[in-house]
Amino acid sequence: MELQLGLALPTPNIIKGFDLNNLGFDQIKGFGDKDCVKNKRGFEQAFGNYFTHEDCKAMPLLLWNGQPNEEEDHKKNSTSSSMDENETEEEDEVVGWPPIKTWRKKLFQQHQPGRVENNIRKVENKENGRSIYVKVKMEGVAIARKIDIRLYHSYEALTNSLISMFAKHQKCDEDDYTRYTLTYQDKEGDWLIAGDIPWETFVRSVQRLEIVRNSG
Amino acid sequence: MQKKMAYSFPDEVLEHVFSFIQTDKDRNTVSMVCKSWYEIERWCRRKIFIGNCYAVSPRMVIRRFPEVRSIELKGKPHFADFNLVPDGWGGYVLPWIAAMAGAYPWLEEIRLKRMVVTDESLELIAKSFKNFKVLVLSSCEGFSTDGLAAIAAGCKNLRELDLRESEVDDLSGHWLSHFPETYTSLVSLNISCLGSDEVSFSALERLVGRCPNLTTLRLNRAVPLDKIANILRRAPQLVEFGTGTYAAELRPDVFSNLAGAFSSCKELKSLSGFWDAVPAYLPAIYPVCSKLTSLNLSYATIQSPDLIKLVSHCPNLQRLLVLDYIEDSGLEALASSCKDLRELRVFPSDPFGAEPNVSLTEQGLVAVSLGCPKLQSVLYFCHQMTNAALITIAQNRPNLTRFRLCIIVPRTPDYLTLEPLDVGFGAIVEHCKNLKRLSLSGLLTDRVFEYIGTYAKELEMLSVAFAGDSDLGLHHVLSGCESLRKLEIRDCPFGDKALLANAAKLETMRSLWMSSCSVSYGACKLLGQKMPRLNVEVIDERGPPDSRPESCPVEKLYIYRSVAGPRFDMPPFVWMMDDEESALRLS
Repeated sequence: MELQLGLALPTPNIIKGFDLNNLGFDQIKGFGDKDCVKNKRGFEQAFGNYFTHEDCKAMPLLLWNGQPNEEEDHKKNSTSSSMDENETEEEDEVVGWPPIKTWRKKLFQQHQPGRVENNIRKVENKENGRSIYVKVKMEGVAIARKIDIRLYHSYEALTNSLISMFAKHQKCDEDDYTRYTLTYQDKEGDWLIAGDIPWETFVRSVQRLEIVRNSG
Repeated sequence: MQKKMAYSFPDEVLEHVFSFIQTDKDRNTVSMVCKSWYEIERWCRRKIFIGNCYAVSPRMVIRRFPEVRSIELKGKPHFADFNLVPDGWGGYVLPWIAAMAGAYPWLEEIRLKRMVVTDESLELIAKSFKNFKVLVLSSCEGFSTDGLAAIAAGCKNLRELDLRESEVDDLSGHWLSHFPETYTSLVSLNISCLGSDEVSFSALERLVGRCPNLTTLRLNRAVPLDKIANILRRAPQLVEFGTGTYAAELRPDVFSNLAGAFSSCKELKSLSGFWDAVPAYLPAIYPVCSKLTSLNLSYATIQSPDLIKLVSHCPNLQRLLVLDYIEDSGLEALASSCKDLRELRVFPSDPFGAEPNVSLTEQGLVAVSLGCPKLQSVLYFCHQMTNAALITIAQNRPNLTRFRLCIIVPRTPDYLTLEPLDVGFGAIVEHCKNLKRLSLSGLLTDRVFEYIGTYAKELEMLSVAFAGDSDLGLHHVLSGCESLRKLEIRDCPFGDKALLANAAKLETMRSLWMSSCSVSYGACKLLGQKMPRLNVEVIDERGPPDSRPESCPVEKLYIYRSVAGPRFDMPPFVWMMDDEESALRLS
């Protein structure tokens, strides 16, 4: 009872024995009659056997012959391969997928430094405390992470936190920070070793981070 | 009629008895008993719900139910949430408000979802209904703070103003100051969707201070952390509270003031907001955590360790919304500390990234399904899933009623076996006998739809994307799911055959949405012609569908039943597949 109004559609009675090719005009007119409520249909007519499912099932516009679109069967095998192409294209977004509401999406975009950089900078100028999210990778670790660089106030705190964050995935020695070097990608896209410029300048410039293992 | 009813109760008695019957479904059943019950019932129906504003006309509703006090109306298809319905499609509320303004001067409540609400509509509400009390605009659009100012100024008895997830043109933060100084009846205010522009804090503080019955207050991102304590102290009776931006330089005095304000709110049960949350300020809510039943952290970019600390303070949590930063470890903590959990939603923090940015897998959901016996509603975004995990979840939680799983990359198979996830989702529908809502994702063949058609007898809403391999899939669903009311499908190879073979089924449903599928224009025309009580809308932004061969698939198809006939507010990219009569008239 979808409408929850009791304005139930007088479905089954009329549909019973419904003939595709012989649907008279008068009948059609009756369905669309907006004055059906005022005209007080008989109850039998109005609500009839609405709840008996058998009746609802009775009227296909096409008989199901159990042979679905045979000609499309070959598609079955090609589906997964065609998707692989999509997966590799990170920027190739399907409209409306993943199913996230528009306003929530806007929220995320503000956290994507690479993509909506202008927004981020605007926000940042307006209010200095806003989060700045950057992606962090560690050499040899499959899963990258995103961190809010605003939560840190020095290179040391950042490096310590990152290494302990990745340490649980990597059987690396958590205390031996000297074995790793923190590198970052700046706004121009160059990869540099972190620590050479003042912290605040670094925060404004950093786009991505990577922890690399020192050779030797 | 009176003579025939000689042995029955007087109308007044029946009317009184009916007043105890609350649910729409029961009222509908009552009205179908006999003519006299129908008459009595329609005169005393105060509350109506219309799941599709185009399924009936305002005139018909008003004629049948002359004494309505509360109306709930829904507009656009659900997929509008994900941008699949073009702008300007419809769902305008103005014709409804205009009709009701004359017919229902005592209307008290309007609840709208996914409708276009103009400032004009809001002004009309403010001036037409003398005793107006509740306005809920959920996922609505088309209005500005000027319209809200009219509501604030005009509705003297307003109890609830809820703008959840609406898109409001934020022209001025001063609309709040339009509530008269004598106004004190506010019970619930949700402005969380308003833009980040300024809010009139003094007006807000005064409003909160003079409304003694205010129990729900959800602020927006523009309200800074240092204002929260003040607002809370003015309303210690609050039950539900949404913070604004939850970030500031950590200062001990600010922290202790905030913690004090929170702990003075003894009734708090629900918290939300937490935009840009700084972990250091989270312990300020610890004093109220033990009483919390609902926590929305889905705007808070807090990492797993802080989330773990937080949820372990909330033993009575029933509802948690959170980003995937919670990770598997956080969900394990949730499973062990929140035994009363009923609803869990985990949103992706990086929905468009190809590779996972956090360690959130099927394991987290399995842990919650094992640890939380009351869990019944799940929305879970993740990157990987297995059939084994889905089977375990189904066996652990046969009480699930809503299960929405989104594996972010379309057509992702079971990552261990590389098999489709048919068996896993099959286990969900087989074990969860009372499942009402299901969203599918991952690699799926027609087999999963066979399971769904066979087992999901209570299913009311099904969302399908990138799944199936032939018409057989859709046929299983339409012929098997007896309780199905809403079906939405995108990017699936389902076409004419399944749709036409089950045409009559569509009249028992509220709506069917199909986009990027294989339904031909010819089949849409046939459906429109042969099923006069269905509105068959072809939505095609490429131009008129009759400029292409009839066998050409349509871009988008929206079918819904209606007793009002075709709608008259269609934009140029929507074509209604009409019955033969009007087709002839046009030609």
